[in-house]
Amino acid sequence: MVFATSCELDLQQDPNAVNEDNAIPDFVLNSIQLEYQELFNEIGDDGMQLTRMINQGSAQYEGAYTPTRTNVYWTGAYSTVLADIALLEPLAEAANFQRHLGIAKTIKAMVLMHLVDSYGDVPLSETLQGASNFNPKVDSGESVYAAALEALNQADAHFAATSSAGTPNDYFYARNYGKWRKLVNTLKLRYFLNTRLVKAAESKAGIDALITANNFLQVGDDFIWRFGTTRADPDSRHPRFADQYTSGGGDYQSTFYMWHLTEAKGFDDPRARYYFYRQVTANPTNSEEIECIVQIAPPQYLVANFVYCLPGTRGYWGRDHLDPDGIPPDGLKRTAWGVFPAGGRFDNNSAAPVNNPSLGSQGAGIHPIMLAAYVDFMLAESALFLGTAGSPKDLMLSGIRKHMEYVRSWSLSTSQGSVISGFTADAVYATSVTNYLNFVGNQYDAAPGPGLPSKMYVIGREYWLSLYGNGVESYNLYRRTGEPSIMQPGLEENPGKFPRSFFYPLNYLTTNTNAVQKADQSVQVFWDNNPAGNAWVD
Amino acid sequence: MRKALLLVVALFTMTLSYEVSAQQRVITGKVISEEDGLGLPGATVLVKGTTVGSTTDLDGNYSINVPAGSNVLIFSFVGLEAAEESIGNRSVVNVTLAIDASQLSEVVVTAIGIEREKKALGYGVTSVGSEQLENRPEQDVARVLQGKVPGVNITSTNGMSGSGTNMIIRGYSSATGSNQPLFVVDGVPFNTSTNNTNGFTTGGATTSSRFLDIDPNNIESMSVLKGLSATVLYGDQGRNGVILITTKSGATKRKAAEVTINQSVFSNTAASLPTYGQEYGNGFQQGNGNFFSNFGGRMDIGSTVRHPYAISSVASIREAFPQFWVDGVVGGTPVDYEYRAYEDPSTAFFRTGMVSNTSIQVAGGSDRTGYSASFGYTDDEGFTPGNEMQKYNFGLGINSAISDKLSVNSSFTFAITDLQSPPVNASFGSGPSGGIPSVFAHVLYTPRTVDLAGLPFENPIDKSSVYYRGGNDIVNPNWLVKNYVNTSDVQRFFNSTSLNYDVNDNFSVTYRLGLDTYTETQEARYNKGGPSSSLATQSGYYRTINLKNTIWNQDLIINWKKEFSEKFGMSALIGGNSRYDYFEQVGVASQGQLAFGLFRHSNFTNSSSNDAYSGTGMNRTQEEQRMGVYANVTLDYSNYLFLNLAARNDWTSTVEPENRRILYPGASVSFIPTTAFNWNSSTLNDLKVRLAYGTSAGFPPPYSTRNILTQSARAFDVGGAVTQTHEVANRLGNPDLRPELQQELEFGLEGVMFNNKLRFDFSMYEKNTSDLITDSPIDPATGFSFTQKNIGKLRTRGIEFQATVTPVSTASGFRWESTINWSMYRSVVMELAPGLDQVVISGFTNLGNFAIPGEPFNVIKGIGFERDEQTGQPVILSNGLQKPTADLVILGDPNPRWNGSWINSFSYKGFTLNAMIEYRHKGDVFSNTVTATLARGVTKDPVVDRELTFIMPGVKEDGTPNDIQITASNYFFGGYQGAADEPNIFDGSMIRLRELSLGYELPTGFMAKTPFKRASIALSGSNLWFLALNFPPNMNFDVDVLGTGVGNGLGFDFVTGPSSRRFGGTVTLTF
Repeated sequence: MVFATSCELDLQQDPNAVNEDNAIPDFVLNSIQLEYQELFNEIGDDGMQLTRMINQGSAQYEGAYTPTRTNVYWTGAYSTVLADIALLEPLAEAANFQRHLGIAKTIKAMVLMHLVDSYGDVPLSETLQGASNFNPKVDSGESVYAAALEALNQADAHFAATSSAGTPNDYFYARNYGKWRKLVNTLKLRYFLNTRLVKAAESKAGIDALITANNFLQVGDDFIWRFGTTRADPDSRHPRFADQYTSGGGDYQSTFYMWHLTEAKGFDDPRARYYFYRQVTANPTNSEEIECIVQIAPPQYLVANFVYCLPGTRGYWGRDHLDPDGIPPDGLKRTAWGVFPAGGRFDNNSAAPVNNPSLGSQGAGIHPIMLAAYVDFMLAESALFLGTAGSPKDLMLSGIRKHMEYVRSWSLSTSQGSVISGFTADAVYATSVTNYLNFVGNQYDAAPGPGLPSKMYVIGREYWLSLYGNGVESYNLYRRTGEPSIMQPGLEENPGKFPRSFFYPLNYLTTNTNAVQKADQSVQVFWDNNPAGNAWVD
Repeated sequence: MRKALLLVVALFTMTLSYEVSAQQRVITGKVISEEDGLGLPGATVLVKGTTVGSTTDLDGNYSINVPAGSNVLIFSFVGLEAAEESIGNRSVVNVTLAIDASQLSEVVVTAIGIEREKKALGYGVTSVGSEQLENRPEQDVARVLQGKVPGVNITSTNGMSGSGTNMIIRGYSSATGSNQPLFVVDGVPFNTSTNNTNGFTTGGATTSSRFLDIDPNNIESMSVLKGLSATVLYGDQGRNGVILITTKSGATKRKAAEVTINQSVFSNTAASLPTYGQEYGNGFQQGNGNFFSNFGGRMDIGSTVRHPYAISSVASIREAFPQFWVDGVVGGTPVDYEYRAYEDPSTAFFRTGMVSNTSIQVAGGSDRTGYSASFGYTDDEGFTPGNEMQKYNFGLGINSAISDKLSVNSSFTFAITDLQSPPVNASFGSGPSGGIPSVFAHVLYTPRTVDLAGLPFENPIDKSSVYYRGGNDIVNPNWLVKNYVNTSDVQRFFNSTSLNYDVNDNFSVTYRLGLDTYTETQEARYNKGGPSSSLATQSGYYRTINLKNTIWNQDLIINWKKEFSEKFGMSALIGGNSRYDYFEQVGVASQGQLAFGLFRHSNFTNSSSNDAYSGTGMNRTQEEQRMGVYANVTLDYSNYLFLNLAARNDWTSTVEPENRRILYPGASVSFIPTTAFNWNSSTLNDLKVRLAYGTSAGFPPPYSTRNILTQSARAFDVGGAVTQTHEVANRLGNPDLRPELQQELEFGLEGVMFNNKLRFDFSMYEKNTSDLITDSPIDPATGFSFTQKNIGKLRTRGIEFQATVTPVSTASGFRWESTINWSMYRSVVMELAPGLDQVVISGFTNLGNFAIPGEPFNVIKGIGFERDEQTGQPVILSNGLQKPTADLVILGDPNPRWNGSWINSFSYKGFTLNAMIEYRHKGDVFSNTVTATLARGVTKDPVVDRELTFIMPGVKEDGTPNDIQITASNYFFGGYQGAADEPNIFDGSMIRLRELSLGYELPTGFMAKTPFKRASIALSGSNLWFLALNFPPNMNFDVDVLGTGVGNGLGFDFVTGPSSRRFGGTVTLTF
């Protein structure tokens, strides 16, 4: 009576959770897809900041991209997406769930490429072994890239397999596996383009073959993550909308990027009103709200006549590159995310505060992970440097057109549709697109010329202007081509070393005996053999 | 007090047998205690040279048959000096027993309720009497103990009524396991968890600790067992020290019937608010504006600004207040708003709370049965509006000798603790973490030109919060305290029942059953309409969590003692223990409030079993089972050499079967050289040397050994298509997890000198933990991000010293007694696993307490200043501010170098004056309160002419001295709230007047004319004055704060809130 028996000590099984024996492959695949879009957002955020698509609020690169900062890449990639893929693979193989495997391996390939693009050499062959290996060694970036290509080949085979069981939940393509195969081809194009500097011949052959197969993403095949409007349990809205359209504040848009879309060409980019929502349509005059209007631009801005503080006079209100200042009371004044891609408001000059989650398309935005338009920009670069088929200029113009049309058509499909069509008729938009294409086409022909250092500058700049919401591709583009060059410098005269790759994260360095930190952020990844240092990327 | 400690002893001696012989006479009389002049129940009366004896009854009366030829009686009572009296031809012999002057004869309660004279103990034990606990302004027993026990470090999370308290004895012995001591009340474990369902960044920074349910006025005595040798018999539960509490209900001492009534009233104010400036107002860069900051223009030039509500960016605010437009024309001209110094938050927001405590004690009994009943009621109103705690404590104790051999002792406690408080969440100087409300987040740096008291805080149209910022992006503190409420309602039942059977004089058996069970209902009730970056907060949030915690504890103990000879004796004990803990939590969280002010889940659009703030599920259960057998043998030789051997073997359910069993041995020696070598003199009255060794272990929390999957039933929802997920959990289950092992070696010296004018107790110890169970981060490339592993070693060394001097004690009754407590510890991380450079103990991965091999445990790491290699000066960037380091650096050691307190007591003719001063030496504190106030320019600092420019000390990147002139705004705001954490680190040295009281006991002669036996009155205060020596002076900062909440973190203040200052009086009546 007094003392318990020993079986009462058998209380090791957590009664609050399911365990691995009960894993349901469909649910695991859901995790993989959801986790991937979160990783894309984390990595893309830094890419957008580094390429001046949105503001970075530290004075120097070292302070901005500390080893701690990219902890989330490492956990997001390894112990989250890749670990769940490792959980799924044997279960899916046992059940002949070919399509599950195809989706998982496509995502795996993307994750591996993101890791190499971010760090260079990363662990792969010794990873995901739990207690059997606490200290996985790094593999060369090149071999990890090769593993990604292999994963894409396998994925393609899984999508093509004739016998397959199971019905996966496919957030991207609703089980249209033909579109997945197009995505696989497009990702291979990206693979060959990224490696073109170090393996020109292989890249050319690879891209030639892909062009021959002609099975890239086309209009209507865009690989995007779609958010919803559910605010809670779970919050399924675009994260940038959720940050900004609750009480205002949030991200500062980049002065430089807004300048390019509104002032640089002498006319507005047709997409500007979709990208940005102005809470006020006139520039601030009160230095309590924006300090830089009473300050003089730093010398590095003045010598090259960079836009400083405010682009134009119409209330496009953001921040210059590497502006570390505190936050004045401008949360309901600064320019906010628009309808594309964050699911906010279309700018029809309504100029109202965004502290309301019912505004715009209520967060039902997208992550533009890989768009049909991007294919053309990549092919343009390939044509220019590798001599693959096609005219660089035509491909570029086709990319711009596809993107502009996509921005409009997607935006019209949201709950902002009537607001948009009420403000800009289809024909008006089409005309502005045509005018834009003519202008850029002429610029391309004129390059190199005043302010246009190269033809690749024009391609790169236009690709960059189409990459709003996708910092992953813009950061790779910037390192691979150095374009768009003539980027707005940091406010600090010496911003430190621009990250050609990131420091290894702290959660890897402090736990793994085989981890060795790099000397600094100027270390280049294997496919980047461009000149070292900041000069390449300024 | 000393008498009060005598529990079972009295019972044993009650049943002494005696012989009756033919030729005898009957002697009667009364044994009186000198201490209080009352009869002494349970004292032993022996006829010298015989075995004839008797004991006194409840009133101290005795009757004894003295055989012919005997003429001397020996009167004794544990803890009192024995007396011999010749009978002569008297038939009535009254005797008064005096307190044994030797401190070493003091009786203390040790593990498993064993009472020992202090001289027999080979380890350090500190006793705290009821006089040090009763009628204190604080109702939290842990806070009452602050500074009174050397080696015990107690930190309040903040000064709010009912906020949690952290207690660490003898430094740290576990990195990620709990370091909180075990509370044992009336012999059975008492749960003292801090049920913070949310972490310090998600709203749970100052959650109550459940020793709050103990009524300090119902404590008869307390023993603090600090070392492992003292706590061996508790097994792993005793690894962090044990606080043994005997309640008045649980005391077995029988008392004469009497009723005691206490009534106290105290005021409660915020002690550590900054001194606000009177020169400059809201703005930045000397321009007036609606900033968080106060770096605007001068306030004394009669300027005005447009009314902030009329120029709000939010249309509904502009429109709701026509009174702020000229002639009431909305959209016309805003009225002028005086740009002057308004009432500051110390009075415009904070209040003086009233704390009232009523306590009634009834005690009495017959010669075989005693009882004690108590009732306590406390209404503790905080200095923060909306903060109030009400406590009801009912206690009932019965002890009865059923027969000569069998006795029963049972104590019941029922406690109701109802707390309500505005939420407290970590803030960093520009609002609370994650948009989760915190009452202090914005109030301390209210710009001086903002009329906090006078501005409307509620929009008359929809009752939402309105405030001065253009975007209305911060919640008005006055609105917050009216509309955001956290509650905790606890109902707690506690019972300890012991049955004791004396088989014979040398052999007894005790069975003790303990039940500690409570339910706690926690609610968060946040009305909609408060601006927040969290949509859940903004739309209205209602969370209800029901917690249930139960401990069943059983002990069976067999005692045996034997005197082998005059000189050599032995006592032994073997026992078995079973402890079962069950925890259950069920919660619902709703958001999207419909009708304002109504808190029912049905009034919300969305309900979930996941908390919106932490994202975690609120439905869980946890079970834990411990079984142990233990033995203890004490050998004593000639009253000067004592050897104690103890061991416990435990089986625990939280690890896999192969690691489940563990044996903890311990041993201690006590040697009294003064007795052994007859050194006793008036200079050296008594001296004791002790040496002890003890071991313990720490088991992991339940469910750490196996892998689980994380499941989400609602992972994503697009257009109503809800999808589910299964994913690999971040934690790798470790089937090989073993308990962490602790060993401690302790040396001590106790002495009494100068005719008892000086008493001291010195201890030094070294405690080593190996196989530390660590929430160890692992490379995520393994597929998991952390695991619990047995890695690393932690070593703590420390010294404790307590001395009491009586410098003056005059015949006229003036007495001055002075006690010094002093302690220090050094906890050092000796090693971690190979490859593991650091472990985050508390805080954030980029600013927190870390364990780093070779460094003091808990060092603070964060972003520092990049320093010039040549000069060590901070590097200054072209913006005139320090360059932050790219990597984390060690910023400080939050462990105090040492702590001391000095308690003085003066008594004269019924008057008693007590003063307790505390000092803490060093120990770094990271304070965001500084960031939130000094950096924003609202305090009297910086007392400089802000129109001038400033140059930050340091060198430029080229190594030349910095000459970049910056504005006051940039200097102070950028300097304190810039990219680095380093400027927020301050030395935590602090001096404090912890307690001050003046009491007067009415003379008994006077009392004889009243219906009362005794009456006293006292004025007392706590925390009346303090000074943090190296903080900016006008911050008035109090380092008694713990921003990371109760746990292993130390040295952080995330605008966690001010400390409390209390002052008032108590009346005590006994009849």
